[in-house]
Amino acid sequence: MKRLKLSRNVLLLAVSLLSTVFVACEKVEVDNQKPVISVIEPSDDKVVTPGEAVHFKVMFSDNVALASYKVNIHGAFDNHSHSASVMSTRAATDSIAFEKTWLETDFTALGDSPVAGEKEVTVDHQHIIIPASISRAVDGVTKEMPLKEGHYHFIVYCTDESGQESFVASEIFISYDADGHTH
Amino acid sequence: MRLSFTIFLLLFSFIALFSQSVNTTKSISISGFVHDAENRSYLAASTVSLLPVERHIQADREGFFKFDGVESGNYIITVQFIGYDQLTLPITLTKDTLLHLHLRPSPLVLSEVTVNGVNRRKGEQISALAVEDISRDYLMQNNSVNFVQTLATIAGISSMDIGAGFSKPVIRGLGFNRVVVVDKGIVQQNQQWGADHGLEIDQYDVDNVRIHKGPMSLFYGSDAIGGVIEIMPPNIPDHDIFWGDVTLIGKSNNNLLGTSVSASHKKGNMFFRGRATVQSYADYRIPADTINYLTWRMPVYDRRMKNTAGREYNLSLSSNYSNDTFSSWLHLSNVNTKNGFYPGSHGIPALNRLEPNGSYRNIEMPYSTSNHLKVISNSEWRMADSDRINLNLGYQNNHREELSQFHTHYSNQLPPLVDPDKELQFILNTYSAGLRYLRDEGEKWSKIFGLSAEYQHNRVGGYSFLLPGFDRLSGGAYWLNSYSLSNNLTLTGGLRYDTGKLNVYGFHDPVLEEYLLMQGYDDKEVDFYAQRATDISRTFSDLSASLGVSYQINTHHSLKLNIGNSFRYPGANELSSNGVHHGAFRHEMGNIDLKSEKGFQLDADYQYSGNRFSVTINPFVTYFTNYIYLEPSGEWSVLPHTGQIYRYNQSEAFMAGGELIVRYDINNSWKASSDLEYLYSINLADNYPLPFSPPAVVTTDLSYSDLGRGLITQYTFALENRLVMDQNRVTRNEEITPGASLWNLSAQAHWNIGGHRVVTQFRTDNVFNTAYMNHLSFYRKLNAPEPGRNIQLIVKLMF
Repeated sequence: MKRLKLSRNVLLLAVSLLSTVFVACEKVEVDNQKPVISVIEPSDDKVVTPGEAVHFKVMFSDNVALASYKVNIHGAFDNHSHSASVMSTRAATDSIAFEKTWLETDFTALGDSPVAGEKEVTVDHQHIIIPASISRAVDGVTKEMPLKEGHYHFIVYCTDESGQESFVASEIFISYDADGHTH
Repeated sequence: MRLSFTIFLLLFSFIALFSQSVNTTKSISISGFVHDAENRSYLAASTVSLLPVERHIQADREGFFKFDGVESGNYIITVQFIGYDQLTLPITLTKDTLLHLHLRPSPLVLSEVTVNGVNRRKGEQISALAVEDISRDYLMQNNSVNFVQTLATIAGISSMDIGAGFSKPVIRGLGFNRVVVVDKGIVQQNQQWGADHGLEIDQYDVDNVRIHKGPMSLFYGSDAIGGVIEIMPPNIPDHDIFWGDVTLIGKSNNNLLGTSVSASHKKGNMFFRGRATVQSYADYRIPADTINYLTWRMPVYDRRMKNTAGREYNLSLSSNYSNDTFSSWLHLSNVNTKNGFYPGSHGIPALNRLEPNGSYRNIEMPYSTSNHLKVISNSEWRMADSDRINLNLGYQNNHREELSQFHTHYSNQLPPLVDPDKELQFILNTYSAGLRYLRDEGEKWSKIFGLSAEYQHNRVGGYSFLLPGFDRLSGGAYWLNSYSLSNNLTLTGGLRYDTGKLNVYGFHDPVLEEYLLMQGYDDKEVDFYAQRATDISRTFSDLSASLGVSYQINTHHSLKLNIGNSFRYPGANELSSNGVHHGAFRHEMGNIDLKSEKGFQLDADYQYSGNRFSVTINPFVTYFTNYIYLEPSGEWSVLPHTGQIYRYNQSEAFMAGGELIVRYDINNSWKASSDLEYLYSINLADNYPLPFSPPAVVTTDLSYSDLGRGLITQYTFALENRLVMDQNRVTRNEEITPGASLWNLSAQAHWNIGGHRVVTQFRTDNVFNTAYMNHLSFYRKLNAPEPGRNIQLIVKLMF
């Protein structure tokens, strides 16, 4: 009988230890929802001519509050060329792959309102300008080089107040020929 | 009481004990025959061990064994034989003794995992943490893709998988540098901080594994927070014998073909063993036609994950010299692997790179190669019956490379002239030394005094940069105690002091500097990004302590409680790195001010063992004073292919959970078991869970085993269900992972073909080809399901 009692005590001890563990796990609500980005403009595969602005119209929303956004454009040539090609274009003599990152602060400096604190906001501006040419020093001489034509990734990143981050990627087509390209 | 507890552990049916009196001299002999309990046949070459004197014998062809020159006293005899339950017999020897030992075939897949605190050597009973000893037989029955995935069948262990080839271990949600793998006394050091790195261990070269769940810094210093996976040296037979095996492995999911061959020879004081393993596998199959990655939908041609093929070549050699007072091991091993990566894991792949290229077995870029060379020496001097000195020395060379066709996000970067496609290279040399003095073993108060030292030398190369070069010198001194208050109550405790000096070599990236200047950023900003690693010289000091109690309440109940702390030195990447982590697509930034990560842990181990029914409960609670994690900063990085900057930070964190294991033997043939593993974690600074927290899992097994007729001596069928719960508790920017119910089938048979023993293991994993994801897997971020149905056959021929 004594043995039984002892083992029951041990069982009780084990159970109480376990329940301590579970009681400690009280629920704390945290924001697990990422902000949502819907890109209205530029539409997918939109043709952009160097020297012109990209029409940027994007709706950002979040369940709590938005924090900031950024935009990046870089060449997507790798995706469409043979895998043996090399993305580095320093060797290219005729054109330069364009690449640039814009932070939200670049746009607010031009008068745009920040998205921070908003739950839903549509940003609409023409501040993203694709340069007509890129100046590059070649053998000590600065030259104006044309942009490499083709598909570019157009990536929009967005964060919310808790640090959740999301992004969407679409493509634009940079071409000096405004009529664009045919696939 | 202790004896009866031991007896429950064995499932032997009958012991006949004859004894004959001879002149009582001090030295006596113990001999006997090992039988199959059911059909009385002798079990040749079973391993018989006499403890605590650590003598091992292989029984001869008639199942006969004999230990001579044994002093009278209390001993434990254990008999191990593949496919049979281990027999453990406590015995008091006063005269020459002849035993007939009857082993029962082990029918249940899980039955080989014996949680056992009694027949362990006294000197190692120095901690009151839950320990699981895993035998060669268990490893074979549960043989999975690799060593880590095989261990992941045990409650509380999970695996982080990199495709179907490589994995790294996780104990109770702690992985990377928070788990230590000890191979023959030496802590294995590789690039375990990296997400796409797998543990370099040959799973066929592992005989016995001991898993410690809980804080083990007291024994192994830095990193032993989650626990320790300890690979033990093989047992040496007492008498001269030559034996070996040939194992053939085939797996359907990734068309794996492999073979492992070993030979062992004992002659006089010498013992030699060698093993070679070769495995080659093709791209693995998943039950999906497309995967969604970074908002792109990518095709999976022929339902195979492109370029996940790989191969491994492993070789190991061991030799031992032993006499009455001295024993010395020399282990030499080399594990060489090559493992392809899905093209998208290092960036958005060109779609044409996903198309089949005529071969599923070729390995294209990107891929990783790694070579892990280990030289380990273990020496032991017996000073007296209860005093020993151990000296472990180790040298390890880990050479890892990641090759990926030259690509850059910086338009000014040119491919290097030499090795243009070598993206990353890490060469880590580790020198280890450990000295232990074990005093008064088996007595009321036994102690271990130890010193350990380790020197690491890490150098990097390649056209990308991830981890800086570093040197680290660390050492520790410890004192462990085990004090028996009574026959069934033991107190354990110890203290340890560690100190380490880390020098990290900074790196300023001229290519990135030029690129950012071209982009028009000012000098200050350029410097912020181009300094890819900062010079660091830091010294860390840590004190570890532990106190535990083991209480064998009665035959059926036992209880262990342990409280202790553990620590981990911050890694060079956590302190110093700055830049985009390829594969993670995050700008990660080191924090030069990080202190050693420290955790305080309370562990309990309660076991009930009845005749047919047994329960194990292992709850734990961990409190970290400063858990190191990557925190989203909310600041944008201007670097391409990345969003905000993630900074290493540290904060208080809390973890709790445990394992519940229930076993029921319905009758001698039918057995059932079920285990639950659960983990809760929270970062107390932001209330989010900790990253890479494994979901709750319930594993249920039902098995039937019986003796065979004719060629088959015995067989086992098992059905297993693995119910993985949803993981909805995720940290910021981690994806939730839905659960799954997976079914596995296995059949094992022991054959007697012309007097030769052959074991076959047939398994079907994921019978219904269910598409599911592993929350911890490297390819989780690709939203790629885990491998689909796998049928495997392993044939082991013994000679």
